[in-house]
Amino acid sequence: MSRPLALLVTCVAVAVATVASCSAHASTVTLGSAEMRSVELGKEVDVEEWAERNGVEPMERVPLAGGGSIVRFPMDEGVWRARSAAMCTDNGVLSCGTDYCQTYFVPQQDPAPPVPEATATLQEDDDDEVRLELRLIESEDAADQRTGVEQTVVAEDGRPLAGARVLLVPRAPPVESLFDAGAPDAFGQPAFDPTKVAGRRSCAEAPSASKLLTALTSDKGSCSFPDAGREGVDRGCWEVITAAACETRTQPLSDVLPEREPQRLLAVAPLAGKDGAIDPKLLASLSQLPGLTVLETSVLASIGRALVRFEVADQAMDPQSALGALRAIAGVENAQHEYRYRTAAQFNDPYAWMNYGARLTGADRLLAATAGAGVRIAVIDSGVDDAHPELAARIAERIDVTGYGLSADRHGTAVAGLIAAEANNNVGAFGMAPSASLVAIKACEPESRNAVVARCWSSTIAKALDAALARDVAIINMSISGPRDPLVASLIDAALAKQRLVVAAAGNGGPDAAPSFPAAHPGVIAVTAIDTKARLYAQATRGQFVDLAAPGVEVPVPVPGSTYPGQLSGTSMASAHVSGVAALLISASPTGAAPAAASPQATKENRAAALRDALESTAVSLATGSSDTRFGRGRIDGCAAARALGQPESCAAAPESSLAAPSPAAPLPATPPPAAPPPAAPPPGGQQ
Amino acid sequence: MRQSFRFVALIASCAASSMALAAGGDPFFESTGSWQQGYADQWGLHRIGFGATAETPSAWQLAAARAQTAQPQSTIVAIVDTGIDFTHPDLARENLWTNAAEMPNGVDDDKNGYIDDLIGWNFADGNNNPWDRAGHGTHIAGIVGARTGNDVGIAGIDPLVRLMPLKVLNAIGRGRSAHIAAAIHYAVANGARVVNLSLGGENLSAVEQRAIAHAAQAGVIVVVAAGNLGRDTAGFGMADLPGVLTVAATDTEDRRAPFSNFGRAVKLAAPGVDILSLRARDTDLIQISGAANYREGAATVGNDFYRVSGTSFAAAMVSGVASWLLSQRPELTGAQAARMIVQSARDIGAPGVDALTGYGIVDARAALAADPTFRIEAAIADVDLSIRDGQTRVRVLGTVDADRFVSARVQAAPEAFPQDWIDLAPPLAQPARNATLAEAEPRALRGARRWVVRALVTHESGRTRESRFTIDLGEAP
Repeated sequence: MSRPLALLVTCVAVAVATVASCSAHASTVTLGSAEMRSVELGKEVDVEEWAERNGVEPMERVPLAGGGSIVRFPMDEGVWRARSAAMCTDNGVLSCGTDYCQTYFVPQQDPAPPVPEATATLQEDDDDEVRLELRLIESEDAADQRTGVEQTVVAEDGRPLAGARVLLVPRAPPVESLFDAGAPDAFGQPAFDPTKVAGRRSCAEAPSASKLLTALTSDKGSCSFPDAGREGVDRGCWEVITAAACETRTQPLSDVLPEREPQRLLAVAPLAGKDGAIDPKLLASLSQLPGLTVLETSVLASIGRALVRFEVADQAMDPQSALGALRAIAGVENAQHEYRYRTAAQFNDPYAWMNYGARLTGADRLLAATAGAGVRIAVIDSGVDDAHPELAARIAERIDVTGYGLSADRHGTAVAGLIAAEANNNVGAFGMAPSASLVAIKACEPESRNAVVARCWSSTIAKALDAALARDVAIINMSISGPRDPLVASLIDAALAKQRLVVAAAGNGGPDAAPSFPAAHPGVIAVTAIDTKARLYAQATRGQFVDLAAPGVEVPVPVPGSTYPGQLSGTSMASAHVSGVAALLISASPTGAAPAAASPQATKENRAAALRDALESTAVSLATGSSDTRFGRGRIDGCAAARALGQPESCAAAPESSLAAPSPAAPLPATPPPAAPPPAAPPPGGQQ
Repeated sequence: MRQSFRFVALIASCAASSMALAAGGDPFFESTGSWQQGYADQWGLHRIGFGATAETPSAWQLAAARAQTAQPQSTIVAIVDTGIDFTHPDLARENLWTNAAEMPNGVDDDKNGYIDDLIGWNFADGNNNPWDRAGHGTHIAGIVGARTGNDVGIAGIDPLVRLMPLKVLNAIGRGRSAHIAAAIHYAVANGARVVNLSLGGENLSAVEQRAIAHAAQAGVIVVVAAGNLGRDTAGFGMADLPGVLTVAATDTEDRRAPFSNFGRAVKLAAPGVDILSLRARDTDLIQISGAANYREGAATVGNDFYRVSGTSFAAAMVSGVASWLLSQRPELTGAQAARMIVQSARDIGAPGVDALTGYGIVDARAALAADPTFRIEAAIADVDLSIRDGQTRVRVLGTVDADRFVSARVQAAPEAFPQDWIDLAPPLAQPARNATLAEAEPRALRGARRWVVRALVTHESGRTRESRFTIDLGEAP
């Protein structure tokens, strides 16, 4: 059962020194240059239009359950004084004023504490926008060795913010788990059989903190948790929360430290003999290692390797020395942790509030010529609903490599739908390539039955890639992200060598996260997410590895067991869009890539590389330079890519007029919103 | 250990009738001195009518007797706060509000703008998980509706409550006006009859003000904590709004807690010192709030429980009683229930309505028995003094009113001889609101430097209520 964990916080001394006790600490006086305003708008008001007319850039739109909405935005006092009179009397404004940072009343101790001897430093509230920087403490060069987190908090103007509160806490259980029928507990953890499955699907047995792990940032704006990720800590089950006044940032510990399955190791060995199995002698010696139990052996035919999964007996051996012991055995090519990955989507992002149907440049015009028929795409994800009317005819095969069994999950179904959902069936039209066919490989298990987020593992992704390579798939979509992994990397290299186009989500770690894998692996198309106005998805991971940008903010998606569309945000969605467009380009040209200026020597032998080059070289830049860490080469342009591939007929249709309300920043050519209007009838009750 | 235990709490008992019973075995409800204190662990609940004595049944017992003929109903209470630990072992699943119109599918089934708002909403982070990172909201939720009679932990006030967690405050208890306003609108739109606002501050935004007015107009009882700054609530944000129940905190001796705000806006008081309730998982509320000289874990009781002081928790007591009263008498309007709670409060401090604790301490037994129409209002808003020709002239401003008003007297007495009341004006035969109640040159009081002025209202039933105002003329010239 759950063992409380004692972790260290180094800023304790600092924290004590700067804690303010005076009741004036509860003051809500707002300082700082960027004061927030809030305006309540009636239900008849077009919020976007209102915002534009009044020259405000809304930071957030909060819907009101009874209709209407509250729009929140920063506006300096001087500007506010000059403009509030007109703004607040504009049509449809119901209330209008400064948005304060309220607080609960500082809880009192009883009996009253003695008067503090030292004078406490009273920290004034600072309402500036807070930017956080997470840095890694590397005790050794390998990412695997990282155990600590150092948090630096800076204000908008870049100066370090002292006194920000940083917490290291176990993740919150998902609300959905309360609705899991028959779930054994609130986290929805089924019986766990390590020989059948790669790892735990949820944090059900994540330990509670034995004490509150919290610190205040020092004068340098920093503090650290030096052993936040030490052995035995399930890094997927903790998060770092930073709060300064009303601003809060929550960062999963797994975004900072490579997430891995505690007590699990993998060993890779070449296949022996003609029958392609693991050398029995090697297996015998592996089985005799003290403290390690062989859970499973499997064959990865595509790379000619055997994969052995181990359990490290509790307390018997520390995993680092176990890895050393494994690597020392003759015949073992490599040994590594069982890393953990996550599907890269979430719903309801607070920063992105404008509803829109996914608009992917060129897809509609490409669709006039082709719908992706004959192209097969492997979707390595959580389970896909093969009974969904959008997908039933599109799924060629479903495979489970998790051991948890086939299932109809939210993330996998959404990604599959964005790639290849049926067109013109009056259910909703999400798919970019509605005639392509899918091989749905379940490598990820949702954290609870209804959760969007699913966990995947090194071993399941390796098996999934192996399965994809055994089939004739042109594209492999991986809307997942996690730590770098040598085993998975070798399978991706095998896929690239076989001219499979590998598309992956850039990750949802936010501006401070490390590059995510597999997106950052060379040769993989790393896709970040943008919204309808080509603004970056706020939670997208940044980095030089980002190749393309595609729609991924509040995208309508199919939902398992429902004919009514849901909505998800994330680089997962963006990756799926790129895979779908790539399928259109391939089906337009059976060789996958005709000679073109960009790739004059395109042949069957380099068709994936040529396609990748075409997509990247024709992307519409969204940054000042040709490439940057946010958008990569820019927004995908299917028509331009088709022209580069020598398929001018694919986009013969003349460009339509631009969007009704084009953004001056980056107008997108018009496309019909892929999301069909919702069905007239309300969704039937009890679809689940 | 906690996990398996927790699930027992989640799946057990779907029968509402079993919940309507009086507190059976809630260890902390029965015990005293669990942290070496000299009073009952849940002294607050005992103090407001939920403790049974040999002579007096508890409010729950009164309700159970009544429930044989009446039809109790669940009341939805919105906890606009830091969220709720919805897995707490002493919180029953059936005491959590569930949005019947929403399914866990990523679809906004009820088209209210919130996707998968299954048990409430996290406005602070813009998602559907109102998990409590600070421990404040869970503590409040426990006071209102911890599972009662389950042989675990504490007793909550309303066994039938459905708690709606609306998270607006972050891990350090801060949150945006826009989110608070949106949460109040959400509560009203989703059937909450009580909204607990144990938060605020000096400032009040226009969006919050409108949301609270909207709630009051919809008949929702809005309970607001007076604040912990030991200051007057005049001009203190939402606590000073009309139409809300602003609650001060009292201690184990029925005195206003020193930290509790006070003022004319305070309607009533409730226990708010050393209150035991639920501890949200992985929280230490006092520590995260930055209190000095706090030893980590010192306020934690038995791992899953926590004791802390503040008007926040006094407000929760009133929200709990309001919920319980509406559950027992669902036919009442919000305005009626609020009136019954205020009018039946047990007077403390200066006789009658005063500026420290309003009408007094909330009293569940009296509230249940109260007549929904019964109302006596006595309030002296101000006393104007002027000295003309050496004679002190007094003008008394305020309200004297009742649903069945008989008369009101405006009187004064030297503070040293408080029984020697003299009338400042002939008895008033008509109610008066925010008006001049008397104007006089009371010769009989000549020489006294400190007087007490009172307005005394007599109701047709013979009951009276008074409001007092002390005048200090300072040292004699």
